[in-house]
Formats: sequence, C-alpha cells, structure tokens
Amino acid sequence: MASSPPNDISIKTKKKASYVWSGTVRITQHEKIAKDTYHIRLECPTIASSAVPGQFVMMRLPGRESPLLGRPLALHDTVRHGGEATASEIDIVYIALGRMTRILSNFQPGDSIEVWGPLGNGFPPCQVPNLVLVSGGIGYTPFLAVTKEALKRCSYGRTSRETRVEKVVLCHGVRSSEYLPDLTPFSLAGAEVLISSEDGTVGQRGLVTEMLPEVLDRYQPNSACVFCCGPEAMMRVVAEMCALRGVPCFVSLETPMACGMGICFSCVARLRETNDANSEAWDFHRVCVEGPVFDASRVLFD
Amino acid sequence: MDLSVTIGKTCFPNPIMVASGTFGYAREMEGVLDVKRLGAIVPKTITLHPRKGNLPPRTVETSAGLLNSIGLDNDGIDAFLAKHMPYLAKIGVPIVVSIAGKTVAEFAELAARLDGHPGIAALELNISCPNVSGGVDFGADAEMCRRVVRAVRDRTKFTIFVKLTPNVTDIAQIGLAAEEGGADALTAINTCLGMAVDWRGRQPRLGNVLGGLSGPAIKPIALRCVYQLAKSVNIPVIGVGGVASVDDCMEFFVVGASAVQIGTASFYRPTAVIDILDQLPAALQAVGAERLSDVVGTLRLPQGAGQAACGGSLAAEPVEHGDQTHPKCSR
Ligand SMILES: Cc1cc2nc3c(=O)[nH]c(=O)nc-3n(C[C@H](O)[C@H](O)[C@H](O)COP(=O)(O)OP(=O)(O)OC[C@H]3O[C@@H](n4cnc5c(N)ncnc54)[C@H](O)[C@@H]3O)c2cc1C
Ligand SMILES: Cc1cc2nc3c(=O)[nH]c(=O)nc-3n(C[C@H](O)[C@H](O)[C@H](O)COP(=O)(O)O)c2cc1C
Ligand code: FES
Repeated sequence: MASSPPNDISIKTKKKASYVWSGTVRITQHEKIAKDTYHIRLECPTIASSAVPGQFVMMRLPGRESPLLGRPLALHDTVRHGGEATASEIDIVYIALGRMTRILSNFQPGDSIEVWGPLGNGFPPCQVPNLVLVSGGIGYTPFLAVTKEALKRCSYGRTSRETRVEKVVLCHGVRSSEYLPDLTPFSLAGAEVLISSEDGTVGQRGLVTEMLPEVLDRYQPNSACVFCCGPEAMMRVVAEMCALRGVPCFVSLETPMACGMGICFSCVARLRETNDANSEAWDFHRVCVEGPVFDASRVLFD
Repeated sequence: MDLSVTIGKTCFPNPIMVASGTFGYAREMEGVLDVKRLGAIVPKTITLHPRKGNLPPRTVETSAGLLNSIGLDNDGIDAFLAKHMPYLAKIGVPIVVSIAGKTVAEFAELAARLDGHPGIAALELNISCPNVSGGVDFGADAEMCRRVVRAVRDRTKFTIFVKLTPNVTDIAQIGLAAEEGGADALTAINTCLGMAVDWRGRQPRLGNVLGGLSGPAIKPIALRCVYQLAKSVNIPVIGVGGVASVDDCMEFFVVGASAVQIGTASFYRPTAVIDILDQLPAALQAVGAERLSDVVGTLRLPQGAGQAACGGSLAAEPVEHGDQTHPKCSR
C-alpha cells in the first residue's frame, strides 16, 4: 500500500514553466575552499531573488565552442547586501573535476560567465520538526540554503515558504579531511553538524550512511524528514534506510544534463508511476524539470 | 522588413524555426523566451505508440558538438493530441508536427489521424532518426522514401516537410525521391551518425552505443547537403545543422535554404533563436536585400568550380524556388 505520511509533500510537475533568466554575468568573488573545491559568487539579481533551495543554474564558459554545453550547478546560497530588499548575488560551490570546471577554476573576479536559471523544482518546505540532511562530497552545497530557510534565518524565492522545522542535523561525509570545506555557516545558522570521513582524518571514520541510523533513531518517523544529495550509491542506501523506518526522504538526483530546461530529454531517471514501492510500472522522467528533487520512494536506482 | 516565407500551402511569419527534439513541446520554453515570435515550432517527433526511449547516458558532449541517442522518447500520438496540441495550437505560431513510423502504414496512419486537426500547419516526416532500430530506413533508400512520402501525401492536405539524413551517399537522390512522392519541402539535415568511446573503460559513452552528432561540428556537412539539394530539387529546402548565429543562417540562405531550424544552440544559449531573429533584418539590410528571397541561393561559384566535389552538372544551375516570393501572409 502506498504509505502517505502526514507530511507527505508530493512534488507535482509544474503546469506553467516559471521564468528563467539567461545572460552573461560578472563573477564578484572566487576562492578555493578545500581540495579542488571552489566557491564562486555571481552578480545576477533576477536569479538571486527568485531561486529557492535545491534549485540549480546552468553555467557556461562564454565565447567558446569547447566545452559547448552549460553545466548544472546547485544554488548554494543567495546574497543580500545591506539595504537591499531582495538578494542580488548567488553563491555556487563546485568541484573542479572535468573540462568545464577546471577551466572555470582559473576565472577571476570581474570575469564574465553565461548563466541561466533558476531551474528545477527545489526541496519542498519541510513541514515536520526535525530535518535531517545527508550529503556526500560536493552534495552538501544545496543544504546551506535549505538550513537557513528551515531555521528561518533567511527567505528565498519570490514568495516566502513556510516550514515547521525546529531542528536541523547535517550529516556530511567526505573522502578525507582535505575535501572538507569550512562548515561554520551551517553551525551559525543553527544546524548540528556531524562529519564522517572514509579515511578517518576528520569526524567519524567510515561512510556517512554508517552514522545515519543513530540519528534517525532519535526521532519518531512522523516527526522527521530526510533530504539527501550525493553519489547515487549513497542516496540509494539512505533511501532504503528511510523506507525501512517510514521516514519520508527526498533525494536530489545528478543526472548528466545538456540543457537544464526540459528540451533535450537527456537527463532522464527511472521513476515509478505511483508512490507504491511494490509497483513495477516506471517511465523515464526529466530530472531537470520534474526534479532534481524527488520523493525517494518513486526513484528506481540503478 | 518582410521576413515571411511560404512553403507549400503554409505561410511562415519568419524563417527562424526550432528543430524537432530540441525545443521539447515548446511549453518548456515559455518561461525562457517569447515563443510567439518563432517562425515555426517543430515539436519533438511523435510515434503511433508511446516509446520509453533509450537508456542513459543519452547525450555526450564532443568537440563543438553533441552526440545524442534519445531514441524518440515520447508518449505517442494520443497523449500528444491530448496533452500538448491544445497548448501548441494556442501559441499562434505555425506548428509543424514531426512524425516517425516504422512502416509505410504507420506513417500513413499518423498522417491520417492528424489530417485536418486544428492548429497544425504542416507535417515533418522524420525518416532520418539514427536512434531507432527495428524500423525501415526510409531516409537511406530513394524508393522507400518516395513510397512513404506518397502514402502520407495521399492521407493529408497539410504541407509536408521531409527531413533527410546526411548518412547517405547521395542526398540529392533521396531529396528528388521525396519531391516525386509529393513533398512540399525538404528539411536537411538530421544528425550525423557517430560514436564516443571511453577507451580506458573499454566502453561506449552512450547508453545506445551509437548516436547522432549535432551542433557547430556538423555545420559544414549540413551546408553541403543543403547546397546539393537546392541545386537538384524544385521545392524549398530548410537548413538545419549547427546554426548558432545570424551569420550561420545567412550561410544557409546563400547556399539555397529558404528557412532554417535551430537545434542544439538552444541547449547552450537558451535565447539563441530570438537573438538570431532580432539580428536577421540588419544582416539582410547590410547586403542590400529587401526580402529574404533576395539572398536565397545567391552563392557565386568561381568559373568551372564545383563539379568534382558534387559530381553534378557543369555550372551550378540558378536555384529556383517557386514558392518563396509570395507576398506577406496575413496572420
Ligand atoms: C542538478 C545538479 C546540480 C549539481 N550541482 C553541483 C554543485 O553544486 N557542485 C558541483 O561541483 N557539481 C554539481 N553537479 C555536478 C556537475 O554538474 C558536474 O560535476 C559538472 O557537469 C562537471 O563538468 P566538467 O566539464 O567539469 O566535467 P566533464 O568533463 O563533463 O566530466 C568529467 C567527469 O565527471 C563526470 N560527470 C560529469 N557530469 C557528472 C554528473 N552530473 N554526475 C556525476 N559525474 C559527472 C563525467 O562522466 C566525467 O567522468 C550538479 C549536477 C546536477 C545535475
Ligand atoms: C537531443 C536531440 C534530440 C533530437 N530529436 C529529434 C527528433 O525527435 N526528431 C527529429 O526529427 N530530429 C531530432 N533531432 C535532430 C535535430 O532536429 C536537428 O536536425 C539536428 O540536431 C541538427 O541541428 P543542430 O545542429 O542545430 O542541433 C534531435 C537532436 C538532438 C540534439
Ligand atoms: S537537461 Fe535537457 S531535458 Fe533535462
């Protein structure tokens, strides 16, 4: 039977496409924050004032045909300067691993880059008291905005989104300490931060999924909700743990994307047609427009 | 400036169209640009029955190009008519419905089901998709091409575009067959069959192993195909393949295209189609053209050039398009 927890927040496909801004923007800050990991700030008021946590933008290197396509990068946070009614800049955190991101890491403040967004659905505003965030590697980036919104430190988007969260726990796993950026913004926003590393150089030794059961067991199933972002293998395990306990879980999928706007059909994931975990019926769905955030019970992991 | 072009029985307000499979069902883009300004919308190809499409990864970036094996992922004609056509019909832009069948009978049935449907301006026969196995390769065989176009011609009053594949030895021969079958225009080209390999992992990079190449990398091939077709047939040719700027469009017009479609460029520059449309009048004025047809097929060949590569007749025949000088349509 399809379980329908009291805080079930089914994510529907948007009927009308929301406004997507596209253009060339200026980089206002750019710094290395951990091994291969960079924090970049972009001046784009239209995106900054409308994006919600869990949405993403496409970024493209201007004036070149190789790499040709934009790359999807999650909204890390928005920046509102003193006196401004709405945010005017966005922060992105990325890992320099391939063609586009390695070149991007050499860009300087003042340089330009092409951007379009905000894209995707974002995380739903959580309606239970305890929000558990589970991330692996670079997957933590959307969770700063999630935390600040949940604990009412900041509002995002054009209309304010109500949440009923009282406590946020971030469970973050890294390969080793050198990949761990400074997570004090999470603590400052009021989140409890738990860290694990595969080599034991920081936090608890092991995988983040090994410390999750203990955290989940703190709460009644209907008083907690899990948001998860990271490698697919990790998300599959987290989804299974949540399903076992009857805790709702939302995952942010990272399928390769070419457009980010729903027009190329390359970013598909297999989704069940119903929330029934026993149902076999599935179809490919576009992660960029119907996601990237999905109720984990609908996702058929490979 | 009058940018309208008439193709078959249909008048298009301008020659800048969006290519099938690269603009979704248009609704996706209404938040990105003013879809009402497009010359035509060609939604993603539909089939008789729903198709899940190919396994991911479905796209891979290559040098100045994109390799895809989407596999005609679509929910079938019934879902298209119920879910997408009402929206498309309301936009007020000519809608060119792209159809693909595995057999002549399937193409004919699709055409019959669509004939007379309100809001449709034309049909585009996708006889050139490289990602679908099990079907007859209509785009690679002149006789099959003629038969499928004729079968559709017998079932519809709509203007018919026939979309050709570059993956053939002699595209002009296929184009002539489509014309004989009753096509009103040729769309060229669909993607070029290609492959990408992760040699270290000894694996193909696409889920479907082979895919179709698009983007700036294929523009020279597309220009060549349009040039060869425009010289051979007496129906308009619509150029597609790597168009990303107004200069690219002008290149296609000069070699004989009456209109262009923009595909991959929309993926990496969301407003590419509108930017090009905005710049087109100035580009035409700059060469003293008063209307689009003043530049179409105006390529000047050096004396005696062109035979070897084309294997065709001696001097290039002047390109003739009976249709494109029609007065501005009233829409
Ligand atoms: C919705 C969404 C949000 C994202 N947010 C972030 C973010 O905030 N920060 C961040 O660093 N990254 C994020 N990513 C992943 C990011 O898009 C890729 O790392 C980026 O495209 C790599 O581009 P590249 O040109 O540097 O690498 P490429 O040269 O394209 O690829 C290098 C290697 O990375 C692999 N790769 C490429 N894309 C992906 C992917 N999506 N998932 C897994 N492997 C991939 C390739 O297979 C290849 O082995 C996000 C992805 C999605 C879909
Ligand atoms: C992701 C993708 C999907 C496509 N799907 C279709 C399709 O469904 N039907 C079709 O006729 N052509 C399809 N095409 C081909 C394009 O319409 C176009 O012919 C080709 O991409 C060349 O143009 P471009 O270089 O401007 O993209 C597709 C192309 C891409 C990149
Ligand atoms: S990335 Fe193009 S449809 Fe999702």
